[in-house]
Amino acid sequence: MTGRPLSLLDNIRISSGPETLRSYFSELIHTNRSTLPELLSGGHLRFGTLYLLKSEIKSNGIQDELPEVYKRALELSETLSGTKTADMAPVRRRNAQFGRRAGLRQPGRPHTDGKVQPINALLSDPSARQALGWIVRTGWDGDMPEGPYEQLMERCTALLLVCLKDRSVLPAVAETIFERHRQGKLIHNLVWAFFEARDRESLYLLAQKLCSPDRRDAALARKLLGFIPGTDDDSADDHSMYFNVLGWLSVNMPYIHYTGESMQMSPKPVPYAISYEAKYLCRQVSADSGKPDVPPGKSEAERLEHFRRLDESQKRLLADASCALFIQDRQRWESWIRLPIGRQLESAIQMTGGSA
Amino acid sequence: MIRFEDGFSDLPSILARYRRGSPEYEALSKLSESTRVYTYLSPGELEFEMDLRRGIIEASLALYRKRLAFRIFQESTCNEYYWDRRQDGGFVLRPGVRPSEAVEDIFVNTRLYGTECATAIVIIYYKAVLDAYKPELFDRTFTRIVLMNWRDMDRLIDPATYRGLSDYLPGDCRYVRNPDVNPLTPEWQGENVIDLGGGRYYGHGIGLGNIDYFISALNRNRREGAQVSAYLVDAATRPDFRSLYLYRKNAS
Repeated sequence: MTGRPLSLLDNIRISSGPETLRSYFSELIHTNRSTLPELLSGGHLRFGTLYLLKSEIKSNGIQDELPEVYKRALELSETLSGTKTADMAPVRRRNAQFGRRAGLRQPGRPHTDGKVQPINALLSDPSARQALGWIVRTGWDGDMPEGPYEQLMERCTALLLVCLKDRSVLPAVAETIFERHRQGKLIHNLVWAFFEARDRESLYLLAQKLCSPDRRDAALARKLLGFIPGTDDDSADDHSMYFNVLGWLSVNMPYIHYTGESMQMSPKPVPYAISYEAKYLCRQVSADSGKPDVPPGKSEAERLEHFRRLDESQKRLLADASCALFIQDRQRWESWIRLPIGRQLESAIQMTGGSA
Repeated sequence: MIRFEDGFSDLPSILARYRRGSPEYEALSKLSESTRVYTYLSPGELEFEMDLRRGIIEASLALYRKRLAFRIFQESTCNEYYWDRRQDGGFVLRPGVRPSEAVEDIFVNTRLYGTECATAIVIIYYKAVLDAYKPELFDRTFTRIVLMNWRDMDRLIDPATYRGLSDYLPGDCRYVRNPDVNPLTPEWQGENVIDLGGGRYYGHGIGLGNIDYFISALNRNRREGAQVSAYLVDAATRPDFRSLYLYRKNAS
């Protein structure tokens, strides 16, 4: 994360590396221990630095002198780093027919069988949220070692976004995704957690990158927003693509909902889909469930009944026309939506200048 | 039903080439009995698709028998004689090695490899195409191979996801989604499975079984208090059979 002031300890880590940081810290413990609490409590410390010093902090009993959020962050990092997937029992095949036929034991993936630390217990303490927020905002640091630290960061990010639905970190997570992508690092699980926050407004964070001066950012943004019509047009320049996507989002935002599709499932996942029924009625849906925020009244339910009998292209045509009219002229829309569905289709064809 | 653009109409003669109960027979029966019309350029195209579907199934079973290990991307492994391991856990074909040998090596020196389920499907697709194309054409065609996820696949294979299909066939890649996955183990967020025919599936890291078997495995890896079961998504991912067929036809 850029733009944050650096503490002295962060500066040493970034400029001279983890070993110098540890040496400096150990020396201070022996020569000037009284300055440590102040040094660690400066307020600008990054999680990566605290993580690298955790052994020294623990072995010298300094943890109780740390601010509460740092103390909690260290506890969480210990708990979450301890959740080793490799320690878990392998899955066994259960299909007897295949078991007999193949006579082999499947090399299973690490399997939890309830041995993972219960998440609810972990997150029940309100200080956990604050600590996780601090970890995620400051801990995704390009110069930290990968491996276990990267996995710990992925887990903290997933807990915050997937379980706690803390959307305040989405801008920071979006930045991290693009930064790591530029560096050729793994973004698979981060992207999954980002979408699992189920915040449709977060799509704007991705859209911003469509006109990034860095080609890699724009290419990734096109991939992540690949479900929006027009994003696969290789001939479109970045700015026209950006305005096209912004236009699509502003029109469809109230009617899109999360589907759960991910890069793991599909070459071109559709993580958000339009509810054409909602768009037709111009009623906002829950981004999570796709159901209307306010259940349809009697007359709306009747309209929907007719709407559901249409084929997919007719549904799309009518929903688009209804929404366009709703935005242009609310009064006209109020009359239009009461027309018989056949008349609505006729006028929709006229409005769009095409056919159903 | 099946329709041929070249006017061919003797579908029973094609069906007769396959053993009753085989994946090809099951696929052809479903296509021919469907209310949807499936159009092929010629019997040759249909046979090519059936061969490739068979290849996908055989490659899946081979990976299973060879015990390809499941590893999350951070811990993925490969034979570095043929592949460079990328920072993100994907594998890139090394310069100067034969693509066909590199793909074949995964099925020979399998113990050197370990990866996630999405990569396993990519490996399966390349192996199936290798078997359909034979090494010489494969080496000429696929000079840059990345084994990671769907996105990195060669444009000729161009896999696409088809949603809400009326007919699902052996050789299709299906997805079992786990919406309430424990976020600490995102590798259990879902499983790509290959339809082997006869109601059986292969999923890398879980094994072979019917769909309930995969649903149970994923359900055991949900977060505490989870309410929603894993489920089979109403969609299938397939390679671009037609492009692959036309490319081979024009190359030979």
